[in-house]
Amino acid sequence: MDSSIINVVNLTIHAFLVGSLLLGLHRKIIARIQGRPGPPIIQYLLHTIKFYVKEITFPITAGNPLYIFVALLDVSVWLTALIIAIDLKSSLLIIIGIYVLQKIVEHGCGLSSGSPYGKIGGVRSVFSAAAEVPLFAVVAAIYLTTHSVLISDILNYQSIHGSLLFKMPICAFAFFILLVSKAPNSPFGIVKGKDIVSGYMTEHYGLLASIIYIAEAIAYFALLWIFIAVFIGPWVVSHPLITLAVMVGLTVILAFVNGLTPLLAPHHSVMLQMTIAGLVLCDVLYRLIMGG
Amino acid sequence: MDEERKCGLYLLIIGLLCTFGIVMFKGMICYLLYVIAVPCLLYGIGSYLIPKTRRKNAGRLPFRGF
Amino acid sequence: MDLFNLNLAIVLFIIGNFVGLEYSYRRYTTPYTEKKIDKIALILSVVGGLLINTPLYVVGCFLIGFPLGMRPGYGRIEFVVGGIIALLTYLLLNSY
Repeated sequence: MDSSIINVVNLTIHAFLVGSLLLGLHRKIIARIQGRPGPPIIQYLLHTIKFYVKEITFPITAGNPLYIFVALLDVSVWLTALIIAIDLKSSLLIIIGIYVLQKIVEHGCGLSSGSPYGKIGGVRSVFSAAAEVPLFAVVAAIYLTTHSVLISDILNYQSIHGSLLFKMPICAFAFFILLVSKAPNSPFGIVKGKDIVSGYMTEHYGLLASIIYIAEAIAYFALLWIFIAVFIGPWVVSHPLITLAVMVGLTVILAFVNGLTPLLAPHHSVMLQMTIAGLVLCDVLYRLIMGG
Repeated sequence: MDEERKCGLYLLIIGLLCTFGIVMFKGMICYLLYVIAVPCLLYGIGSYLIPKTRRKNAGRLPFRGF
Repeated sequence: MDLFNLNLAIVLFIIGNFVGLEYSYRRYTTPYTEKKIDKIALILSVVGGLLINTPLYVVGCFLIGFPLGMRPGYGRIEFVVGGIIALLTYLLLNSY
């Protein structure tokens, strides 16, 4: 057996546990903002464990192989992101590809169950793909500055020239909006808006819901890690304890943003994200004209 | 054997084969097998931990006109 | 600190949370209190705050997780006291 696989197993467990705890903390802070005591911060983990031993039945309207495989694909997708970003420190473009795959998962998840709520969630997830347009623009701007899209090269660049957060604040803001739209209860969370019950997850219950929760914990960890690595710098990601501290700080900020903003209507959400994409594209053009 | 456990059995077999592959091989293929093995094992093991359904008409969910 | 030891600490922290939750649900029946301090949780929290900066930090994580995991509305002051002690100990140890 390769010894690198043991590292990956370690990393997976770390990502799952830390992601779960951070999502629990997120929920607790939102509750405190709303004046409730809120659940303990292990609540997300308890939900995951509880649903893991609950019965499932396949709805008779479900398209069956797809109904299971989208949940499993969700875990696969974010494990791939974890390996490519954190273990191999490879290309940011692959991460974007993975993020697009995540949209396919959400869409398939919504449509495979045959539930009307799930269908609306799946359709909304397709046009919330507007969240990825800023991502492309961010990668373009990063390429123009650092002349590489490999995360290892970006980390090297930052160790010489200082963190990218102050060099390209607009790009950092656009990536931060992506984090906001991925976090629960976000203003851009039209996919899981409370008007459509649970969105695409409405009819994935019991064991399958638990598997999707596991994937979401890993996703939260991976996205926070990529933000920290790309914009804050190598001195944070070189030590897992400092990474953890910065992640807690980011979670607090995200919880305040999500706790204090209303849920946008789908067209407003898309419009705002496209506006941010336009802002970043202006930044890219400026960098192109001024020569990097 | 009901349908959930049948799927679970297939996925458990795939997951165990992938685990065997991880032990046998070296290099990048290990990562690929790992990514396939983890969700398969998650569902495969989970499908044997969950209780049998107690519903009368399995698959007919409430609030859907049944 | 490598990732494995950190994982071990996090797992014990979660177990501490769970034990605290279980303990406080058995002990208290009212849903919410103010200005009431649980002595056991306070002692565990202080000990955890002291231990978290020593090589026994795994046990420290377990103990400091205990007040944090208590049921909603309980264990808040205890956790803050433990956290402040942990921070002060860290600053004292690292100032030399």
